[in-house]
Amino acid sequence: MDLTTRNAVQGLMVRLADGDRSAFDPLFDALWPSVRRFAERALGSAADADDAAQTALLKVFERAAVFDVDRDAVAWIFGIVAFECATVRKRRMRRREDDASVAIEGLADDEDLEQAAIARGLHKALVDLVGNLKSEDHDTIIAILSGQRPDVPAATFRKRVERAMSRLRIAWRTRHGHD
Amino acid sequence: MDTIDAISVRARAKSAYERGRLMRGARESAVALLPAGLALFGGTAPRTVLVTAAVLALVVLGLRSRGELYGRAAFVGMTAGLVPLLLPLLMHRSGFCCIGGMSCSALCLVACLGGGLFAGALVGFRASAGERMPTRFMMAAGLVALIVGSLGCVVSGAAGVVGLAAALAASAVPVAMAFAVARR
Repeated sequence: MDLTTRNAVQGLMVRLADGDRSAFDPLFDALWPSVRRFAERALGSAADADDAAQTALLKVFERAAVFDVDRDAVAWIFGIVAFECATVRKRRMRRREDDASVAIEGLADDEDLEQAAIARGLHKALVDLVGNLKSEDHDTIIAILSGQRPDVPAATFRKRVERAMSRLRIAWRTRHGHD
Repeated sequence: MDTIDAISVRARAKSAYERGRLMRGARESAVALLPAGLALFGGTAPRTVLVTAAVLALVVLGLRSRGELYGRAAFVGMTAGLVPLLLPLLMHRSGFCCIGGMSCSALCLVACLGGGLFAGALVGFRASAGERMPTRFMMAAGLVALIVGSLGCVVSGAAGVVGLAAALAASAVPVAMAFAVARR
């Protein structure tokens, strides 16, 4: 901002502080581009600069009525703008941190998905194996899984379970190479 | 030409400015508590003080929010009004003046007239001292001085307030004109 504009801003700000509404438009016209440019340089993003410049200017005009006319208006105004830029920068940083934590949570969700996929794969492999067992072993394992014990003596059922599980283990080892 | 963003920001900034002025006016209208307290201390009826102080606060709020000469007039009027506020109250409290007795009331009335003349002279002098619109300034400052002064002059009834208003007007205009002529 050159010296002429600086002096003009000072004069307009003094008039506005006194209540002279006719100083509003020229002051706004002088400030908006400079404040916008300052914020863009400070923040490096047009969207953030718009936010910061708007909020800062609203604060400047809201406090214009209590502006101390002995102060340097430009320094006072750009102090508010700089503070607003710092606030936007902090907010942006916090947003990034939040995004990062959401991403980490997302990773956790992905792990759950992986576990579910593994479980689904195991289940499918087991169903395939059980389906290939003899009908007696197949029925016994289904009875175990469903919790419906057939109408046979307990000792008999226990032997059938041991036999079916042993055959299932052998079949699994044969197909997948490990327990 | 303004972009849509700048147009919207300009409108919001204007509202923010008016809001800021109103808040400042509201804060400064608390100054009405001072003459109200003095009037209560001096013996003015609490209900009268309450109503008058509320009107004073509203007038100060309006003038200070409006700003410029009106804002300045509010404080000049407040200062000028302290004289017709304090004179009858002091006389009333010190026993020189009481309500009911004709001669005592007349003393209070004299105090109101004297205070009004002084306040008017102060307003007129200040109006002629560099204000671009001295008539408006005198009207605004005179109104505030009248309200502040009536907090004290009301102890001598409506006559006290009317006398104060007449004295204010009678001295403000000629003093303002005299000083304006003298400065040319």
